[in-house]
Amino acid sequence: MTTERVSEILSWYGSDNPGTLTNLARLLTHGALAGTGRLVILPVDQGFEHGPGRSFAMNAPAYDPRYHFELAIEAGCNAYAAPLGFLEAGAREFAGRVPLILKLSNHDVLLEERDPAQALTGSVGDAVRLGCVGIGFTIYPGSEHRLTMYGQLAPSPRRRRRTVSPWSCGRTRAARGSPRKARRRSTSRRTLATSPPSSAPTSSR
Amino acid sequence: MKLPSAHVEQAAAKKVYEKEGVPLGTLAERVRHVVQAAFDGRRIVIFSGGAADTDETVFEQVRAIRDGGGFGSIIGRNSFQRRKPDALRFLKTVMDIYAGAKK
Repeated sequence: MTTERVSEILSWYGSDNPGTLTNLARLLTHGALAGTGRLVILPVDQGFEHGPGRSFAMNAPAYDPRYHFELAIEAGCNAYAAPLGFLEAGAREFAGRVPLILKLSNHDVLLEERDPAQALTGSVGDAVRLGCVGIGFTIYPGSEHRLTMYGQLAPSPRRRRRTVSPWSCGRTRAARGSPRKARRRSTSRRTLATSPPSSAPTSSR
Repeated sequence: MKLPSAHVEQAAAKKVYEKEGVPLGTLAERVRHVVQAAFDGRRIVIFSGGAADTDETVFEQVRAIRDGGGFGSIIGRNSFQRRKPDALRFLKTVMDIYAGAKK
């Protein structure tokens, strides 16, 4: 339901096109917290990033990608966010039941890295094809590869009317001092700031 | 983003925070600062939980996010690493806290 609070939040994103705002409104008006301006989102990229065993062995039904759609729907989450394959495995079966966010970038923890980079594992076109309201993209402030990531994040999704959620996983110098500690940081710092960034080029419309 | 600790990494930033008396003592205050830092509250900022933890630890964090003006949570491992009935109960409490239905 569109409340005064939802309208207020949408007004902050005035430079965005109506398609993007409509998708942002879907996030804010879905689930148990619809209309409150608060969000609880289920994010599941750990199968990719930490590995399936480490992520799902303690609750074996979670190996099935469809489990997470059901969990997000039954819990009344505002959205469900996951990488490409995990979303593709349920996007048709659960179409329209919960707003989806496609996580476009992924990293794994097979090596102990001080300066994580990541792979682009999906595209904005995939997000459109799967009916996602937006995309998620990790940035690692503090990694030596951070500037590349900032640059990748800026320009494209709003052209296709999708919201942008930078997932900011900060890396401090203290953490970078020891690869072991750095790795721990990389697996524990996750962020979701749902925001079509105002600095993105206006040519996106 | 990850909920911030009270540690300020950059010496130059720390100096400003101390000089200006930016309140960072409680988690709710730090959340408020993060929200202010994101376009003075005019951007949605959502916080993450991290590794699976006890119910009460997470609920305490959620109260701090709510009271500090944060917009919500992403809750991954703390939901899908529990049995589904437990996860649903857990998420309902989190949502009730955000909705103000529960303290």
